[in-house]
Amino acid sequence: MPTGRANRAPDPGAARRAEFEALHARLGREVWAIAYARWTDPDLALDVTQEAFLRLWKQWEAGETIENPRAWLLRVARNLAEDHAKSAFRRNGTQPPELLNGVRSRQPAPAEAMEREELFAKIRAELDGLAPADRDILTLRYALDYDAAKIAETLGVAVTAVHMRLSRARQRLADKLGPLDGYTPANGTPT
Amino acid sequence: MTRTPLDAALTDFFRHELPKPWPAAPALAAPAALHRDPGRRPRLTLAASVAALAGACWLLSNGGGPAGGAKPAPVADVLQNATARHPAATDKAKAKAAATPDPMVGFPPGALPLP
Repeated sequence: MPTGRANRAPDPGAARRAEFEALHARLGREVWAIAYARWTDPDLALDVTQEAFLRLWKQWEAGETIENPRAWLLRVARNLAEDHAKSAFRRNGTQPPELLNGVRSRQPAPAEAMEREELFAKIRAELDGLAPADRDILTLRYALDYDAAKIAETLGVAVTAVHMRLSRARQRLADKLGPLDGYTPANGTPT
Repeated sequence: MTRTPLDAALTDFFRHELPKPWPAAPALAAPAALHRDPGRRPRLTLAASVAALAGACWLLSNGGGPAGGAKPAPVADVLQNATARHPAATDKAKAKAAATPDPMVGFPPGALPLP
């Protein structure tokens, strides 16, 4: 005889919210990477990511069926980042966005951390000079550790194109950044 | 792929850029508003319309409409048993009618003159 809490009908709203949160945990970084690659601004990328997920939720709320949420989110994130690029251009004219040279922390840092911040600022500046498609590939490769096949699947391009663009972008960065033989990774293991 | 110093620097850079800790999903509206059935409003409108129509029909059928007038007056006691088998009731009605003055007394016969 069905009695008790265990047999109560599940709340469809709670189930949907759980699905939404699981999707955010699973795809959020990928959406962030696509938005980041457009602007190389992590905070803006996070705003775009959250906005994309909110829009997905509103679509669900309105009864819309989204067959492929991943593709939908990536497309919306890319469009939102593009929209921001247009409005930022209108506000700033031709001023580049990296006026602060990418150094975000105001706290005094040890010399090693300072050197790393300087290197990161140089990397950010060089990334801004790359094509957005190259930044997409670099972000997915290094932020999310995706291999070429997964990058190709995410971006909807050929694997050979990923290999070619990645190799070219790495070569260009190596030329611009100079030798990094003395670089100590964050985990402390020398390369 | 061989991990070069450039790879290490790029990995550190992009992981440094990635938000840590990864934030929770954005706050959503109250759960009650989330279960909204898109067909609920039209259904409610239809139900209200049917109820209004049924109510109007019921009122009209009971003479409650503007042209329905008052309900029929209660049957006079004198007629309650006025059948051919009760001649006493008929006589009583005739006597009552005879006792009632004619409302036309005092008026000239024919059409009334208009002012």
